[in-house]
Amino acid sequence: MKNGKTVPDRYRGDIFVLILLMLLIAAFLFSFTVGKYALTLHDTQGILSHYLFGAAVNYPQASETVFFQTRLPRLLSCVFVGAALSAAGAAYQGIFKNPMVSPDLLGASSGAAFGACLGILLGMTYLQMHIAAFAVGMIAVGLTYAVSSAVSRNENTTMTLILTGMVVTALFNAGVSITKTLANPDRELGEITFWLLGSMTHLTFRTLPVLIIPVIIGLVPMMLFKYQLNMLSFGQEEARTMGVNVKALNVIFIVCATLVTSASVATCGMVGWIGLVIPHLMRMLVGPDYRTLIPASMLGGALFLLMVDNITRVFFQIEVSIGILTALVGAPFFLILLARGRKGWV
Amino acid sequence: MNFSLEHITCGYGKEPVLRDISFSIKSGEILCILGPNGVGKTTLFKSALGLIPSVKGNVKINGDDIGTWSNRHKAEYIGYIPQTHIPPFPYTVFQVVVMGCVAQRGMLASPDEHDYETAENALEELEIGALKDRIYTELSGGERQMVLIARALAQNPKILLMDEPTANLDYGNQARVLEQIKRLAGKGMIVVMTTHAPDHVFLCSSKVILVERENRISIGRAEDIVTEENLERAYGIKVSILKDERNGELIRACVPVLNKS
Repeated sequence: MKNGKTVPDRYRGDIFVLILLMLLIAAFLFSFTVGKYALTLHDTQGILSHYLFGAAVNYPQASETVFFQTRLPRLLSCVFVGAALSAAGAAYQGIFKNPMVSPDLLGASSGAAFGACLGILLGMTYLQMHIAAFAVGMIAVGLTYAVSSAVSRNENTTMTLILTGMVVTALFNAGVSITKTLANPDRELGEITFWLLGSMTHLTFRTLPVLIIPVIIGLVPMMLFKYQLNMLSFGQEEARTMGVNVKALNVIFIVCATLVTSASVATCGMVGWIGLVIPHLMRMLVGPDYRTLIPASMLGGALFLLMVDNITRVFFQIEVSIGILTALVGAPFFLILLARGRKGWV
Repeated sequence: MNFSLEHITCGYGKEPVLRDISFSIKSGEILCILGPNGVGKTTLFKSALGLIPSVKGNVKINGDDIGTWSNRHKAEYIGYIPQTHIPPFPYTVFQVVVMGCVAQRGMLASPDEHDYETAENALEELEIGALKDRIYTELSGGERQMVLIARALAQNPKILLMDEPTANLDYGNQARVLEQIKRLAGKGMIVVMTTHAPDHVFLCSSKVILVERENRISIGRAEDIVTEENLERAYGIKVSILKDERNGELIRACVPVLNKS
């Protein structure tokens, strides 16, 4: 066959994604058993087969309560937040043709956090708070984008973008601090502080849709148009001359990435580093083609956050913020990537 | 096939860089845009591509104004070969070339068997099949230039616009790129390129636009435009044009005459 060499390459990406998917399913099931209440794998299987296939009940009632009230929402939060932040990071990196950007660096996370803080302070409903997070997150990314492209009309956008992102992040972090100062120390302040540091325990079975629905709405277009990110990463002008509808795709990816970021931040606080580290790791493992990079990043991000959350449940008796842990794991890991990095990886 | 600029005035914002430029070229012709740094060659180029809106005038293909065409429609006719730069991610050469044919099939497209074949053929045509599995970001400048030409060919355009295709290339690679350009024009492609080397205008035996300061523009055949007087005026240095005959063909070369110190 004439293209003998290209076909295995193409399947290699698919196989990798499949392996990640199986790992994620295994990790998901295993994670039910991790935590203070010892939910066994046997009970987990019993509950699943009861609800999915109508098998007879063969587990204690307490297990079912833990399964639905604490574990399932928590594990699903990890999966969706991990997938969302990681895919958003990969998409931002392509759009801004810059491997060093991530939701935390562009101001998306801190903008969303400020919006959510405002929401808490003003006593908004949960849904309103999410909308506020998304709106301010969009404003923050828009500001970073507008200022950096105005400052650097020519090609050297990499540094300008990172610096502008830092400034915008600082600005919205200051906004977060102001809301903290204004918050009532007995009520909202504790809530804001604890939530901001990142925790997977906020969602219940009933409130899960506020995370899952916007994340799915954001991730589906990213999956559909993912191949176009390859052309966009060569720069807007080149992509245009190749026939890419750059304007529409820019809007789609920036809105979607910011939507999933703000949904994550509004439910689980500032969980950093995933959006930077996971796409890098995946790029090392499967190469830069966005066709595999986007699904691989989603699965890898979900897997990573599940495992980090398991660590918090196994090793710490008190509830440790997952944001602290992702930084503790992510930062050194990124340093190793940088140190070992082959030319072109970073 | 006919590609023409009609009374183009181009520039950024209110201050036009170049005024009232018109030219027209046909299939198989090469047009070189020559001129000193900063006169607006790149701006003219970007206007022709529609990357920046022209202040006035029209760009036409076969008489149709392409100003309102979508990026996709334009990409079917015009392939653009930018100055080489290093993209942020380590794509393989093959992945880069495949992008050329996928882009114009719409936002939902991703490569299929046919695209792989087109890309393969583009690499073969330029005799760089050996580079296929190499990492694009690790190639030399000359190799990257060839890959970008392959990517543009995979797009299957009728017109190639090349921004300084020989910049940053060593002597041998410059000649190789020029050979390919002549070969493509020989096959009926329209080629428009900017260059800093007046010699290349002779080598491509092309039409030429000499852009000088203060909007002074001369258009014509290489022998008529690239003259000692014109080059002297455009670049502010003395130039001597040498002629010789090899295998019955007249060859010309421009050599700057340096001031004695």
